[in-house]
Amino acid sequence: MGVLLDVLGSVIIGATLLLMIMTFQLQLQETAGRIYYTSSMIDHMDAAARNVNHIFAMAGVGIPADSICVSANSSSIKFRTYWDCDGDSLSDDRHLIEMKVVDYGYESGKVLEIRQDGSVIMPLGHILFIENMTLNYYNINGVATTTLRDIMSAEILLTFRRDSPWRPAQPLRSNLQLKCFFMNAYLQEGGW
Amino acid sequence: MGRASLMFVILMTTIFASILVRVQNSIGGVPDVLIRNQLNKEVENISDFVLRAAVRNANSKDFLDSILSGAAVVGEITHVQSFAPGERKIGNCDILSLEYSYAHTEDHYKVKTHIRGSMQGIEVFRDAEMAFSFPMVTLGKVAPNVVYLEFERLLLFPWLYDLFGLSNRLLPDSSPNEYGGQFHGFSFISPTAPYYSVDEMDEDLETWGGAYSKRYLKFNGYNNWIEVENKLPVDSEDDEPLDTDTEFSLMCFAKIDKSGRATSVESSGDKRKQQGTLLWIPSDATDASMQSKPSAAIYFETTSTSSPTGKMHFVVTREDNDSLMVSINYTRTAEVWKKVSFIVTLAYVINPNHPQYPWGSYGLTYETKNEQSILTAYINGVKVGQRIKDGAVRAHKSKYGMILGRTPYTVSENVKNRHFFGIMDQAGMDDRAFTPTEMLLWHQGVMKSTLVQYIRD
Repeated sequence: MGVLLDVLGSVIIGATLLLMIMTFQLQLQETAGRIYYTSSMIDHMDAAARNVNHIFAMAGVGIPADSICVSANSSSIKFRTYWDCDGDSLSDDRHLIEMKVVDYGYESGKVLEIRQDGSVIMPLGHILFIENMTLNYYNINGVATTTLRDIMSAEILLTFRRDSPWRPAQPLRSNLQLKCFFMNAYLQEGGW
Repeated sequence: MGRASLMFVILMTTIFASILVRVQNSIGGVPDVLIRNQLNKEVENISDFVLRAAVRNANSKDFLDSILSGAAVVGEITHVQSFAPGERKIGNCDILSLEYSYAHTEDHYKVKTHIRGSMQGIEVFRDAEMAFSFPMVTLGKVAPNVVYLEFERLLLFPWLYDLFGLSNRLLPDSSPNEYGGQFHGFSFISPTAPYYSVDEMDEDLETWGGAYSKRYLKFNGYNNWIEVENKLPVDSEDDEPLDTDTEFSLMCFAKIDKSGRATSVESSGDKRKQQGTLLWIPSDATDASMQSKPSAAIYFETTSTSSPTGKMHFVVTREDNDSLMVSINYTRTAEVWKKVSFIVTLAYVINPNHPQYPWGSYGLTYETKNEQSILTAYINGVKVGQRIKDGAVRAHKSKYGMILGRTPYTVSENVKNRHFFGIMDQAGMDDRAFTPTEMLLWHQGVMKSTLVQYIRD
């Protein structure tokens, strides 16, 4: 009887210890997953911001500063440039660049598309995990404007959405606000 | 009991192992992301610094002198500084290369930097670029490859060279073949003249129309001409100085004076009938019957001294001495030279308003294919005529080089050497027959001269 109690006691103690270790390991796994999710999302947002900023910066190369924008509203923008955003080099041909959020029905959410002359710039013009993009425009003096020929910079609010790895039904949203400048229009206006 | 315990231990170990692997993957990925982020920030800063330094270099006279050895910028030149890994290291970043490009002048330049960042097995790359008044379209895209004279050099007091019998083969060739152009005749200061309007405006050159070049060449209509060096192309295994064989192209830009040269103090008599030879490649200088049959030539013929309309001729003579010629009516529009009073008579000076008249480009291509010889003529990059003869016969050999601005023989008492009266630029020859698209691209490449400044950071 004593032996049986010893065995039972050791099984209970062992199982409890095992349960503690497993709980600890699972928590560690979840924490690691959260850190990885967060850092990879930050990385993704950082890369997206860099791409968007770069595209804006190359707007209007070789185009008079008052003729850069073709259309601009709160959800999309279209502009001209002699910069080949696909090959990332100066071009002999004038290009039309368009940025807008498109819903393809992906499980991962919407896509921020950057198109050059109607074709998506690959692979950098297909930015995933986007839920929304809101644009506000400013003139050379930093005053809000909607006049196409006056637009020199844009404030962009990007909302990223990604399903949580531990609670897929509760997606996480992160907002990123950045101000992008038509840098080459500023170069022209600066009288270089 | 023992087996049950063993199974239990194996089961637990498997569960632990799988959990640990997942933890390892998750935690292990975090440093990579963080390192990449940190490296991106660092390489961005280093790239900014290096780009600034490169711009400073490009704008430095000492640097330019070091890469050009004192020569002027002709056409487009590119200088690349490459560094081995570790040779130019800042923090965790290596400068891989710096690229400097100049177009036609030291004021039109761009710099490119290529940086690599590496840390703990992760690599990131960053290219940056900045251009100042750089041509959007560069002449190098479609440009003659045998000889290309762009007349970019100031040629001071050429008559002194003639006086002392010195060679003044100082007009440089932008092609790799190093053909030099020698100026003949009188020009008091320099036969090449600057585009003042360009230098002052330094922006959209389309308003004056013509090349990025800083200079053009003046032809006074009675004794100015250019002799292109009569030598073999670099590394050529051919025995002909210029490759007028089964396929080639000739072209130049010019403004042909609409009135021609009347009597003036410098030149005796009325020279209006002389107008005007653009390009002439003699076939056989020893045979009088071949004098008027050039291997290839483009020239304007004045048919009436009272009318700006004459004939533009494009000629190629085949090896069997049979000539193909395209002749079209052509009306001159440019007032290039201007008469001014000088003592009791008239002298000619360049009309300061000539930039308002557009440049014209004149080109011909010759090719043999499908048992035919085909001559095609172009004006302003557009095909204006074609002459086809049976037999795929090569053009006459060219042993005497190329002449710009006159014929090498006296045409007649009135016409003399058919000297050109006007200005010329971008004269050259290619060893292929340009397609119509290429000829148009060449024309547009010269004419479309918008300068841009941009930064890619």
